[in-house]
Amino acid sequence: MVILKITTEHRMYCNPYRRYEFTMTDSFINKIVRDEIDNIDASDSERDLIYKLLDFERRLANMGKTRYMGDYRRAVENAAGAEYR
Amino acid sequence: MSAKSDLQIRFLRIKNYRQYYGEQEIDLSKSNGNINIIQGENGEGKSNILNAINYCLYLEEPHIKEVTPLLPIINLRAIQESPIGSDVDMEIELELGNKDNSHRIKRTVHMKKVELQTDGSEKNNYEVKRERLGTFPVNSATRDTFEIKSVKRGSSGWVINENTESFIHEILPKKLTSFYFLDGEFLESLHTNFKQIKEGIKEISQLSLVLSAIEHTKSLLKQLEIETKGQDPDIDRYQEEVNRCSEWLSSTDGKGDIKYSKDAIWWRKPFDHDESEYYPYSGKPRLDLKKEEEEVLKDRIAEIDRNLLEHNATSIRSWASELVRLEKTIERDESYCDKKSLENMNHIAAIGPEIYLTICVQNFIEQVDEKRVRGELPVKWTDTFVEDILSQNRCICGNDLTDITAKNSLLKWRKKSKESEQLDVAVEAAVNFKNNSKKLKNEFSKIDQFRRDMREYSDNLDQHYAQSKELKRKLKDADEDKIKKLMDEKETRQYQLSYIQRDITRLEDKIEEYGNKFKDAKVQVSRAESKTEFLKRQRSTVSFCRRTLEHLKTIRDNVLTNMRIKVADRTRENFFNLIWKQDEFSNVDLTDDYHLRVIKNGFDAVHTLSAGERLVLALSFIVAIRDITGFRAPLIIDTPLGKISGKPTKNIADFISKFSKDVQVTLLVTDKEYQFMDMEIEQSFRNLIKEYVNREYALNRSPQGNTTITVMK
Repeated sequence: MVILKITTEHRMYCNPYRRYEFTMTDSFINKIVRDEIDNIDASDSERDLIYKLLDFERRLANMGKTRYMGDYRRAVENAAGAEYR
Repeated sequence: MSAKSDLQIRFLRIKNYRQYYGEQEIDLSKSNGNINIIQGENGEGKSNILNAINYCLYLEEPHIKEVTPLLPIINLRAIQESPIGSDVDMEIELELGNKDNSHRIKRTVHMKKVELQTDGSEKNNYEVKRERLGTFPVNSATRDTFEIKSVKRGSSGWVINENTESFIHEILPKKLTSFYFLDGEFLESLHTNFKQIKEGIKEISQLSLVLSAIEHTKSLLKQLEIETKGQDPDIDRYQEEVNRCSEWLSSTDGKGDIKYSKDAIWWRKPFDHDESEYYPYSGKPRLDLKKEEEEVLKDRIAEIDRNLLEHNATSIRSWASELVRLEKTIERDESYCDKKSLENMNHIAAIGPEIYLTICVQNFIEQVDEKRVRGELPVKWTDTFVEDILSQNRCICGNDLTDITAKNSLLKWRKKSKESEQLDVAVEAAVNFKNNSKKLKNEFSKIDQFRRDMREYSDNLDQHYAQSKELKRKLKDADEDKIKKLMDEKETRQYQLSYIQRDITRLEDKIEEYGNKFKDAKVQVSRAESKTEFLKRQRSTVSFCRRTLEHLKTIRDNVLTNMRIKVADRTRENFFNLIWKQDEFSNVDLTDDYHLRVIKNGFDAVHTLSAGERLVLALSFIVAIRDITGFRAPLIIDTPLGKISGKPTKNIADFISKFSKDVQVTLLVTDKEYQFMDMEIEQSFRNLIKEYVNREYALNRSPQGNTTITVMK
C-alpha cells in the first residue's frame, strides 16, 4: 500500500499586508458598471472615489482579504478633504 | 476587461498529473478554426484535463468524479519508478494570451520519496512527503512553486510576475470558472440553479465589487458617525433635522398612496390592475409625478373639447363652444377671486389687531376721560420722592412715618400713583389711536369694497355655473351615445383634475415648508460646525461618505435591473435562434428573482425541457452574459452533447461554430458523441463542425491505467 501524505496547505507568496497605491484607471471596470457610474448625478471627486473604491474591492476580492479599512478610510478622507478645500 | 479580451489557451503541458504519466503537451494555438477537440472515453481523463487547468490556476480540482477511483495527484507510476530518497515532481503549465500579452503559468508540486520506518511487513515500505522549507508552524511553506511569467507584445524577454495569486484572478477570476469551464452537470442543472444564475450575473457584471464597496462604505460611515456623534449635541440635533427634511423632499420610496394606473386614470378605477403602483412617498418626486398627471388630464380634456367642437351637428358645436367659453370664464373668475381673497386676507391680517381692539380702546378712553373730568384720578407722584420721604421717616406734612398707619397710607398712595402712570400711557396710546382711526376708516371701506366685488363675482359665477350645468345637460341629453360618453368622461376628468390640483397645491406648500426647515437647519448646522475646524472637517467627510454610499446604492440598483433585462433579452434571442421547435415556445424570461422561465402554452415549462432544450437554454444564457459584459475567456465544455441526438445536434453544432468565431472553444468529447453518425441527420457531430476545428487530440489509456495524449488531426 502506498501511503501518501499530501497536505493542502499552501502559502500565499505575495505579501498580504502591503499597502496599495490607488491608481486612477477605469479599464478594470466593465462597461455596464462604468456607464452607470458615469450616469449618476455625482461630483467629479465622488465619481473618482467610486472608481478607487471599486479598484480597491477588486484587489481585495482577488487577494481574498477583507481587512484594509485603514486604506479605505484614507481614500475617503482624501477625496472628502479635496472637496472640502 | 481589455486584459481578458480574446484570451486563448495556447498550450497545456502536463507532467505526472494523476493518470498522465511523464510529460505531455496539448497545443491549442490557433492555426485554422477556433474549436479544439479532446476526445476520450469515460474514465480516460477528460475531466482531469479540466481539473489540471483548474489546479494550475486556482489550486483546486472541482471536476473530480466520485465514481472514479481517486488517483494520487502525482502519477503513481512516476512515484513507483523513483528511487527512495529522490524527488518526485508534478508540473502543470499553461500558456494564455491575446494579441497584446502572453502569460505562462506554471504550478509544481514537489515531493520526496522516503523510506517508511516499519517492521518490514509493509509491501511498499516508502512514503511520499511534501518537502517543507522550515519547521512547522513557524514556516510551513512547502517547496511547491507557482510561477507566472509574462511578456508584452514588442518586448523581448519574459518577466516574472510577483503577485501571482492576484494576477491570476485579474485575468481569469476564479468565481467565474462556471462560465468558461463548463461541465455537462452544470449545464444540465443551470436552469434550476437560481443562486448560480444570480451569482453569475453579479460576478460577471462586477456587481459584487459594488456590493462589497457598499458594505465597506457603510461600516466606514458608521465608524465616522460614531466618532463625530456626541461631540456637539446641537449639530446632531440639527443634522437629524437636515436629514429628515432632505429625505422627505427627495423621497423616491414608492410607499405613498396608491396610484391610478395609466389606463385606469381615464376611468377612475385605481385598483383594476393586479400590481398596484404607488406614488413616491413625499416631496419633489411626488410633486413631479402629480404634475405629469395633471398635464395628461388637461390634454385629455382638451381632446374631448376638440371632438365636441368638430361635431357634425351645429347645435352640438354651438353648445360645446359656449361651454368651453364659459369654462374659461369660470376658470379666470375663480382664479381672480382666489387671488383677491388672498390679498384681502393679508390685508385683514395686517390691520386686524387695530380693528378687533377698536371697541375696547374706545371704552377705555371714555372711562379715563370721565374720571379726569370728575377729578378722580390720583395725584402723580414719583417713586424717588416717596423713597426719600420713607428714608427720612418723616413726611413733608410733618407726620412721623415710624407710625405704621401713616407709613401704610403713604405706600397706598404710591400704588395709586403707579396706576395713574399706567393710565397716562393708555391715554397717550388712545390719542395715537384717535389719529389713526381716520386711516382705519379707509381700511374698512376697502374691505367693504372687496366684499361688494366678491358678491358681484360670486353672483356672476353662480350664473355661469348654472349656464354651464344647463349646457352640459343639453349635451348629455343629445341623442348620441358618443357625445354622452365624451361628456361623462369629461366630467370624470375634471373631477380628477381638481383632486390632483388640490394635492399639488398642498404638496407645494409642504415642500416650501420643508425647504425652509431644511435651509434653517443647515444654517444652524453650519453655525455649530464652525465652532471647531476639526469637527467641520469631520462632518464634511461623513457627509461625503454618505453621498458616496447613496451613489453606490443607485449604481447597484441600476446595474442589477439593466443586467437582468439585457441578459433576459439576449438569452431569449439566442434561445430562439438555437431552438429547433420555435413554435412550441412563446417566451424566455428572467424574473426579478432570477428564475429562468421558458413559456410554453402560457405556462413555465422549464422543468419539462428535454436534455437538448436544457443545454440550449444554458448555452443561450451563458453566451448572453458573456456577450453583454464583453467577457471573452476561452470556453471549455466537457461532454457538450451528452444525451442529445438528432436535429438538436445540428443546431448546437451551428451555434458552437458561430460562437467560435470570437471565442476559443475546447470540447472534451466521447468518441460516441463526436464521431457517431446520427441517423436522423445522417451526419456526425465531427462532420458538422469540421470547418471550424483547429486541432483534434485523442486520449488513450494503457492497460496500467495511464493516459497518453495523441494528435488525431
